[in-house]
Amino acid sequence: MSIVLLVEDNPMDVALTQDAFHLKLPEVELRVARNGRSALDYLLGNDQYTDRELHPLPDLVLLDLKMPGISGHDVLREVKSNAALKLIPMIVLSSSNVEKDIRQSYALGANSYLVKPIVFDEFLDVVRKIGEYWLTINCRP
Amino acid sequence: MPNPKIDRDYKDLFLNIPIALYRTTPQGELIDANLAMLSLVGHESMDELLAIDVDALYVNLDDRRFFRKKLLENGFLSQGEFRLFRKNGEIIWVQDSAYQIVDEAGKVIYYEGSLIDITSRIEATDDLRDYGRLQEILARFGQFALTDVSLPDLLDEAVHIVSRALSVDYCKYLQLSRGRDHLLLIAGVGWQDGMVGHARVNIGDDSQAGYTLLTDQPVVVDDFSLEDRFTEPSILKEHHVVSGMSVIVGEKKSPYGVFGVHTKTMRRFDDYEVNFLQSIANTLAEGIKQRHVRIDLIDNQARYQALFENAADAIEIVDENDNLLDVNAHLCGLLGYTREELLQMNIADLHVPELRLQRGSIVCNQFVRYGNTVFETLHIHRDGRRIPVELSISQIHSKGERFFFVIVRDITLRRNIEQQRRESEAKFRTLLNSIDDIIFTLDCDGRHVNVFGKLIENGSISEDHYLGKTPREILGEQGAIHEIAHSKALTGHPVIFEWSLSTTKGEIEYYQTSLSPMRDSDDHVIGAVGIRRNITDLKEAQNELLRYQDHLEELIEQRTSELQERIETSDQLNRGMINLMGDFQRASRRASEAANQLSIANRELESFAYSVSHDLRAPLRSINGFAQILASRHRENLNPEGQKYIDYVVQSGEQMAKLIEDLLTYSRMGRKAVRRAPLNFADILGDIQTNLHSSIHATKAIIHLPVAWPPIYGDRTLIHQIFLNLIDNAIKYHKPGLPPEIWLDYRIETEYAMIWVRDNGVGISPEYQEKVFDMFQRLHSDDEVRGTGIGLALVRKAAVLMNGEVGIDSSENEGSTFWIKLPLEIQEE
Repeated sequence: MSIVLLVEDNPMDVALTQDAFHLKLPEVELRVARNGRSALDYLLGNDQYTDRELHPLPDLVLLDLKMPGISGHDVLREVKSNAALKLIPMIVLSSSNVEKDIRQSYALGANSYLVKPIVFDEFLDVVRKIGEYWLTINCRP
Repeated sequence: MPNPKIDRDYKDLFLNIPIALYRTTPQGELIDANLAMLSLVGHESMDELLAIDVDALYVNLDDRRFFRKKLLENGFLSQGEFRLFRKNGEIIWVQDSAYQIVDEAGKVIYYEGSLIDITSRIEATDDLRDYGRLQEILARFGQFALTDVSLPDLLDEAVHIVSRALSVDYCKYLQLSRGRDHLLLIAGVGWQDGMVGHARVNIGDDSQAGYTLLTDQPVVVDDFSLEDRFTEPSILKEHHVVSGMSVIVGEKKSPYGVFGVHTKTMRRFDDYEVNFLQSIANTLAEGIKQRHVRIDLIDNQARYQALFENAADAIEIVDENDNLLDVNAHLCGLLGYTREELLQMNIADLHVPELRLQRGSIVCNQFVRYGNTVFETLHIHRDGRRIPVELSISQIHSKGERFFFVIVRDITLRRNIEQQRRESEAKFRTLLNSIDDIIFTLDCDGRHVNVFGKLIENGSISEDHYLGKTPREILGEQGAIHEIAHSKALTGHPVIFEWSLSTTKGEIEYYQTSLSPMRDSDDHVIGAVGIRRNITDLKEAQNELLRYQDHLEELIEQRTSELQERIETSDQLNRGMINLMGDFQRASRRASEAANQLSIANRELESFAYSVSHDLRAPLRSINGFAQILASRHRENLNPEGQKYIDYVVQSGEQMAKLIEDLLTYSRMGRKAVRRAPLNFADILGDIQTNLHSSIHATKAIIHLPVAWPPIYGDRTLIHQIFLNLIDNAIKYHKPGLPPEIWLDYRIETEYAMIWVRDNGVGISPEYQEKVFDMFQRLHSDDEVRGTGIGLALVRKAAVLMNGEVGIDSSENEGSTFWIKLPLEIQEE
């Protein structure tokens, strides 16, 4: 069973993403970090996440960019400079399609950049494709 | 019954067939052999041959045992390969195929067989094996060269492995000196002590190595005593060298040196060995080059970094598309951005908006198209401040790409000083030129350098009449007094004197001239400045006074008031000028402030529109998402009315999504630099048809494209937007029941191309045609056609950004023809 960590501060986006995963990728376990800090705590195994049995490293991270405090870019920078974590595919899932955000994400080592579609059907399609590509077709280390 | 004739024929055949044939007894006696056999083993007569012991022919007696065993087991031997001695001791390889002949009782009578000489084949195979070994050595050396071993160690390894691989007495690597005037032995094997690192060899045909540098080919010497292409250097004589070969290391036009081997005994190096040596040399050359590059890289990088960061100027490095690749701290300071921010930006982003819209690739264009290496332009600080800058560009080629190295110099101060100077000079001139007197400066030779005054300004006196001339040249005799005054002024003393001049009308005019020394900033006298006043009136008044003593008071009063009036007029004039200038300056300052504010307001408005539409996406995504979930998965919990309403919510949400996307496209358009490249219309139209595939399919639309397209330069994204929206429009606003049909066509004029998009749709009545390109202008209700009212506004903005125009010819129910006019060439600015 694959595990995906969703890093997203907007509760409605969390609900929609959970719904979409439930519909399109029922076999995937979606864990949610509600801000950059707890995403890093989870990934680094800090505090309550020390137990890797309970909190295993995800196969994939879906990352929002615009978050209060530690931003998606901060998370990317931290993860990609950490030898133990940098192989985890980091997929930016942002509502921004501003060139600057995209360039910076890739510069910081993002493995993919997806713009959240406004229309839900399209979002379902994106989620399905994430599962198809990143969790099925793509070879992971 | 044996037939004697057949028997004799067979005998002849046996004897003369060119394959060595034999018969031997199992005990090793040769019973019979033919001529080919005789020559194979090199004996002189058949008797001699038949007398020998067969076993003695075998180099290895095990081969003979193997031969017997095979015949015993199988009755025959197929193609056994053995070594045999010839009579002269030479060893040959043979391939033996034999049968045993048995009698009726099954007893072996003799062996009968044939031999083929396969020596040359076996030797070739051996050579091949040798060659394989050389290849292996070469491969290993290649890998070794790739490691980060130092250059001396690499050279040392090269000479050692080559001397071993080729079994030669000497091996050498001679490095070409920097001045290319000699070669130095820097690595070698077999040479006398103390030579490696010190021995020098001449270039040119004084030595084999020198000669090698002159030719493209490996130089092989079989015997130095017979060599006539070059002289044998003493160093080789001293080492009793007989043979050798040498090859260039590196390219002929810029070689690193020469690699070679020598032997003390005569040796003929074959092609394999020459190739092997050349391959080692090539690997070496690659290794040397890599190490040089590595050193250069380290050097260059350090040098570059130091230069870059410590330079007194702001510096940026940009690619051909004006993207910033590197910037130094000065540039960050100048423009108020961090380095990270700047590295995400394009030169266009640094320019003030009006320049941003006009240019394509600014730096590249200036450099390549206009040949400018230095030009002035306006940058914009993060806080909106405009900074006049001077860009000095040089280009760098690296790894097949072109970059530009740009020094950005803040010329605000220079501009301000220039501006002030121009203003003060203008003010000064205005003042001087409104004065009745003539004001002039003389240099140390007494020549006029400047001359001002109303008379000059209104053209009564020509400036040329004075400039470069002395008072004597202008005034004749009257110049004498000026000369005296001038020489006095040059000693530092001001002088005032009066003089008179006869006019052409015979009247006498009186002048008063005051001449003062003019000093430079070091207080040295560098000339004189003079004021010449016409005092004829005053003189006449004085004269009249003398002449008409009795009218004294009256006259004085009259004249004085006249004079005063004149002075007042002149004063008023001056004051008026000064006021006017002040007003003008204030007005122009206000105008430029207003323009600045307007551009800031515009920019703010655009970024407001952008961020609003951007920020609207997040909540809209939630509304759409949940509405869709409700409409699909919770549908059965709603009554028919609820179902209808939730469908409305979904529909409106999607409509709003489209609206926001269009708004974003609109406000984003023009934020990026407009690029101009040759357009591939066929490609763009192909993309558009893919984009619109579903609506084309649903409406059965037919699109007619021209066979060829005009050679236009433009921005691909903008052109895409134009045609996407026009075609989309044509499909949307088709006549009910009639499949849309769209024709694209163009015409080329001298400076621009006209492109038409014609359709058979509902058309637009003339009174609306002006408005259709405005934002949110929609002529149809949502029930008829779903549009956002932004499409045509996008079309117009895109065309304007490319210095083009759009328009429409249409009448209601007759279809519409939209036209786009685009410049053929990049417009000069």
